[in-house]
Amino acid sequence: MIPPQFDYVRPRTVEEAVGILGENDNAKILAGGQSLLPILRLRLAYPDVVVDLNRAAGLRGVRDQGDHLVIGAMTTHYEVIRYELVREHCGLLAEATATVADPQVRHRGTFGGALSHADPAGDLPAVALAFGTTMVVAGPAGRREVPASEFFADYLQTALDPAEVLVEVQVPKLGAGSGWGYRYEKFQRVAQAWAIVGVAALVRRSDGVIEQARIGLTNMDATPVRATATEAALNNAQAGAGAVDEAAGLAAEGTSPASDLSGQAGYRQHLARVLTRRAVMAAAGM
Amino acid sequence: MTVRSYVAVDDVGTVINPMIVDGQVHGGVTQGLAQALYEEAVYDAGGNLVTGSMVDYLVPSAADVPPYVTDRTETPATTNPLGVKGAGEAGTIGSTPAVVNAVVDALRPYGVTDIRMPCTPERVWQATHGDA
Repeated sequence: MIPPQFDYVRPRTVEEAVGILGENDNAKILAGGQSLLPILRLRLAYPDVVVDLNRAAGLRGVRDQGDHLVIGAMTTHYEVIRYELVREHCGLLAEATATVADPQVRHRGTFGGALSHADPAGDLPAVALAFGTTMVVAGPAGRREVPASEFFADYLQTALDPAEVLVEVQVPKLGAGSGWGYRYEKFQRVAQAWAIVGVAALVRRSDGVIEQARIGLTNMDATPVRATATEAALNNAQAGAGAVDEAAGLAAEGTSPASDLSGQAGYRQHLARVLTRRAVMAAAGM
Repeated sequence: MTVRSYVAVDDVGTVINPMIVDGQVHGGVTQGLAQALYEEAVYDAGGNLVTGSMVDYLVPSAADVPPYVTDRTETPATTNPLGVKGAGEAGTIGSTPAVVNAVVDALRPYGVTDIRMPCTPERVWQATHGDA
């Protein structure tokens, strides 16, 4: 379908974008458009104005800030995968981003757009949660930082106020150099499809012991969630198949996944347990 | 669920362009395999089609199917001067039952004798865990 009528503005700066958003109470931000345009064409949204961030300065690229990387919100998935810094220090993000949709979508879609859209079936919100990223948000009162654990508020809803823009994301360096292994396990029925369930695992292992595990679950609730019971069970656990099996059996605890065409809730919980075992085993180098 | 290998032996009569015939068989097999594993028109209680978009109605791409092994016998048709036969649907007709029967055969140890098409991973899981 043809989208409903809307006004279109293309601000040159984040501050200008924030100003426009403040003056319009029914505006939508356009980043890569890989979610917004289908939504408009299906007439699921009727914004008065679309604010295109593609010419706003300073929103693209990756830089090294010591213990973390800073990734501009408008950096495309393709760019995220291509950055050596990301592959070296945040390998889980590169691995998961490479599973997002198909190459055409990855060339248009953006990291910040995927996080702000907050689709629980999207791969990157669970990855952000596992890393413990910090979202840097610009609004009328200046900039503020929101931890990933507070950013994803509900189904397709974030902690962003209507006049706020996600500017950049701070991703801790949890890569091979710092002793962390990782794996993103995605279960889908055909290539390019959304995850029915996904598991993002970061595991730090030393001398046969799993020191710490950070696990994010895709599509297991209205928001991405951490597999907290599994994480606790893996804390200082022996790095062996038995301990991992037992811990992964707890992966679905506390989750309320949807029942839909792609799978019933009970099946999703089964998948979460199986995929968590696979992801943790791989992340721990077993 | 992954199809690891697929072998198709067809007789399409006299072959003029082998690459086109192989292409027809590949496409036909994929279409039949899709019916066995992926594609389904699902309706809700009100009679509305709920698999109405390419997000919900799953069509496999080259990434989802195995490399096919094709071979053929060549028996010219007697009803036309070229000796050719139809090639387009040969792969389709055989592949749906071949794939479903492979699934049922794999589940024999679980006492499964039938499974609904398309054989989704969830249906296989239900069949083997007994809590449909």
